[in-house]
Amino acid sequence: MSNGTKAAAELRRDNKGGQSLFRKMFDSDMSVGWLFSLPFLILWAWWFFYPFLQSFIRSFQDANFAALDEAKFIGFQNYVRILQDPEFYRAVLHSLEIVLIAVPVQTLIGLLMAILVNQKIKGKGIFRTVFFIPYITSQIAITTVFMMLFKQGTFVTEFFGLFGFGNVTWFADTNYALMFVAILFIFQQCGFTMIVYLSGLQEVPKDLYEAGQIDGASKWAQFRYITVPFLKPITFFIVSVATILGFQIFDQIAAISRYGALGSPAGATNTVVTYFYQHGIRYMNIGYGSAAVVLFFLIIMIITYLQKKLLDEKG
Amino acid sequence: MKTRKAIAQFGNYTLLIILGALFALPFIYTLYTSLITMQDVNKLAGVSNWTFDNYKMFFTNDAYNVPKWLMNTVIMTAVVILGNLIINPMVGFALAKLDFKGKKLIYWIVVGTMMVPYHMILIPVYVNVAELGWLNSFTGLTVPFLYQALYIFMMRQFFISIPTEFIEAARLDGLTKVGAFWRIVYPLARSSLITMSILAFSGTWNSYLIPVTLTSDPSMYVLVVGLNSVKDMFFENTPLIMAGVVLATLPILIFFFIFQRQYIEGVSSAGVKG
Amino acid sequence: MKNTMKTAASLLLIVCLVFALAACGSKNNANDEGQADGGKGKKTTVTMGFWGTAQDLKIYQEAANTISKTYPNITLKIKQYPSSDQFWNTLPGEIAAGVAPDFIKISNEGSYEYISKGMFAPLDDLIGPAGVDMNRFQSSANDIWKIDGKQYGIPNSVSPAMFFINEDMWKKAGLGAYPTTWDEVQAAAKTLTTKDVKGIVINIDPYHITNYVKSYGGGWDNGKTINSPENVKGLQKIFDMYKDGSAVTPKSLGYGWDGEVFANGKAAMTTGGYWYKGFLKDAAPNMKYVVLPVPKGTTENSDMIADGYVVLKDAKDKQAAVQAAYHMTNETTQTEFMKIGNGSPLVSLSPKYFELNPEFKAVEPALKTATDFAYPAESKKFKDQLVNELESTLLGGGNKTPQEILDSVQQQFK
Repeated sequence: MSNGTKAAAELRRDNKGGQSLFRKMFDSDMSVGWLFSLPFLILWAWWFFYPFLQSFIRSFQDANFAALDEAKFIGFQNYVRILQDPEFYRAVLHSLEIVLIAVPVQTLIGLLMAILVNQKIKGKGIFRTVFFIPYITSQIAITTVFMMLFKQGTFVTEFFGLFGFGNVTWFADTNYALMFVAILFIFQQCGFTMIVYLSGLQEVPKDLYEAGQIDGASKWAQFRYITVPFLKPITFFIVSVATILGFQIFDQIAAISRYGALGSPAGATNTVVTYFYQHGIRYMNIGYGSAAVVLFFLIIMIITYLQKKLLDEKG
Repeated sequence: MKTRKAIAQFGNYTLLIILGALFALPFIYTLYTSLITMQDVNKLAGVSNWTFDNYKMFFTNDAYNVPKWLMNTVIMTAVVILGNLIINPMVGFALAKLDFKGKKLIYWIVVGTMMVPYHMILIPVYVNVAELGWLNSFTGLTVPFLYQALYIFMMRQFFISIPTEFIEAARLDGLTKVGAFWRIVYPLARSSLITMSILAFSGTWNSYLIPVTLTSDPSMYVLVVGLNSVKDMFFENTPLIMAGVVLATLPILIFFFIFQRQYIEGVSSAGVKG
Repeated sequence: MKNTMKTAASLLLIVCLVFALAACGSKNNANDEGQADGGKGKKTTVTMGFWGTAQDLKIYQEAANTISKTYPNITLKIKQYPSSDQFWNTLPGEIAAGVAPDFIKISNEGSYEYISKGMFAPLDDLIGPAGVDMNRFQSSANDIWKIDGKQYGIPNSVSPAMFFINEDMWKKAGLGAYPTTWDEVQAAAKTLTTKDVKGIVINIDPYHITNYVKSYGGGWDNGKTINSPENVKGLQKIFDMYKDGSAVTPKSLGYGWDGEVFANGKAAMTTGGYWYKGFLKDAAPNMKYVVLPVPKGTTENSDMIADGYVVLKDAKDKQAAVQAAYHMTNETTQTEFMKIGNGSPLVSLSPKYFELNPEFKAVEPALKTATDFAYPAESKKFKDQLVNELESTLLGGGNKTPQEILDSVQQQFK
């Protein structure tokens, strides 16, 4: 908060004279800040921090999923073993690839869709709904449908063939399977991005545009110099969330590997989360799996921190 | 000028229709598959071969109590949304518009929480729920999910754009910051609250992993879990599954279609003038 | 800032502690109730867990309703899980919370992993006092659940792997007698392959792979013989048929599993099992197909698929659990299971299986030759490794030979 507003607040306080305790509690940033955060913090400590702490402790244990009472502490051994496993690096790389491909694309398409359905046009409600459908439909169903479309010899693969892609069954080919997952993610996430941008667009103060029109700014200039800066906090939100969700992608990969090993074909779609799932849950080595998630957590934390530095000046 | 407008309009609609077709295609295919029999899967079946048997199956088989599952889902979703509508904006507001010690810590708690895949904490959460005796109950299905870090973060980003002058104006009228939030900022944030409700609604309605873990009694199943229990051990009856998907998705579609009308442009702008 | 962190951290800690205490309190309560129940003694509640079809559930519910006739002191509850993954995911939580089932139905493909991790109770000391007559079962069925001389399970079903041929395609191609060896299959597959149809679908899945290696006298022997010459020969046969261009994986055609390829008429032959019957009835009701034993490589051997009941090591009343499990093998329940395709391990019912399922008649001799999977103790890891290695060669353009693939898998399971 700026110094100006603080000064104004103090001035008013002086004017009003005696402050009741009640008013102090409900008007000082410190007490309101904590008061407003309290319900969240209680639930969080109870339903997130406490369970997370338990998992964190597990990451230092040799813990068999099915006999947790027999777990033994082994220090950093899990971490050392993960960092020596080439498969882990491959999984991290795959996650990064998905994020690097999918996040920019879904942000741009989502923004485009939001602008399109924010116009005064007929049937915008229907278009909004249609664009939102993939986000709410079961990912397993969408993956199943996409698997039917990206088969060898369908019009989809032949269309992509025009751009130099091979006419193969995408999810059965180690070269294309990861791209297939990225496409699925983009497809799902666009609806989310659209809806968030759409509500952001509602809040762009109209007088800004009016002022722009008086200055004779073109539509593009208005968009570039009014809309885009105004949407910056929301863009930051969308990019961070898409990054995090991109790292957590699981259902789609599980669906393509339904009848084989997770990360099929041949581990080409293994990501950090499937790595955790495979070792922690499937092979029941929950200590090892937990250590993988802690490392995973650190990786995204760094990325998010960098994104914040790059995109979000406030806060 | 007029022709330019017409061309722009035409381009607009072309783009909308192409994108719309692309995004509707998988759902249309899902709908189609839900209407055919297993022998027609992977083939094109004419309208005469379509059947509602897959849907009938859900409503006539004694093992499936679809109305009950639907009711459970409605209750769970309603409670979770209500909690989210109260808790998330409060934190988001505190993080966006208040200046207090510990704010950075809370910010990173919110952001950090989003990053942990729920798989990782599911087992301890399950044990906690079980120890409280909350398995197979609405308490267990809702209390841990009354807040969502993702939406707190979203609300913070929305509130950042709301001019601080509103709050100051409200305080000059004698409101406290708490009062300014509930009476002025909260109603102004209408479209972001709608967005959050839509997202929280679809997230909760569609959630599978959590309810399937926390409930084992078929009478406490939610829709998605119940519909997913209708499967075979060695193979999947794709049309039946797709019928389940359609049944689970339609309510969200209706909810969305109704609520997206609530977006009203330039609310905050009107606020400034008023 | 540092001070704030400290205050916040201690605040959180206090909150956590309060909840931890609250949680402990309620835990104790739960335990007390449990003991009080046990104290009453007379009526014991046993819970069975399983994952499977609605049909299975119905059969089990009926069996649970009749248990009081045989065991008046037992109440049997049935708990259905959506999938085996879901069961194993929730199990640790259920054990910690004291709500885990007492016994479960499990398939022999993968059970060795759990047995070797000590998750199930050995039944030898329980069978006698519980009054279980293991002689009612065929000894080969009992043996599947015998590890290191200890009995871990009560058999529920046994069926050998099978080989399926699309009869119309076979006849249309002018082929004569049905094949009994892989060499004959390979030759027929070449004839059967057309522009749209492959001779044989080979799913890159351990169940199918194991059938091939067994028919060449190989097997995994719990990880000791992964790269044996017999296994290499079995795998080589698979590779040869791919090289001929007459074999295909379900995945490269965009299908989930072999049954879909077969049902859609995209391949004329496949290895499979009893579940094909139910699937094909729905997916390809007009198809005429022939069921044969898995062809020979050098010997007659294939997978034996078996279900059994195992008692979890944390079960409260193990004896009651064994009795309840044994009740599931009564003739009425077993007959119901046979009707939906499962072979019965009961000496008294076994012959009836082929009367109820005449299309499977040809595989009757395989009941004597088929054997357990014998995956290594880390079964899931082994299966994943094998599949990954094969996929990277067959789908990823790698160029490892069968010998190299099996060597590299063997290395990790010494």
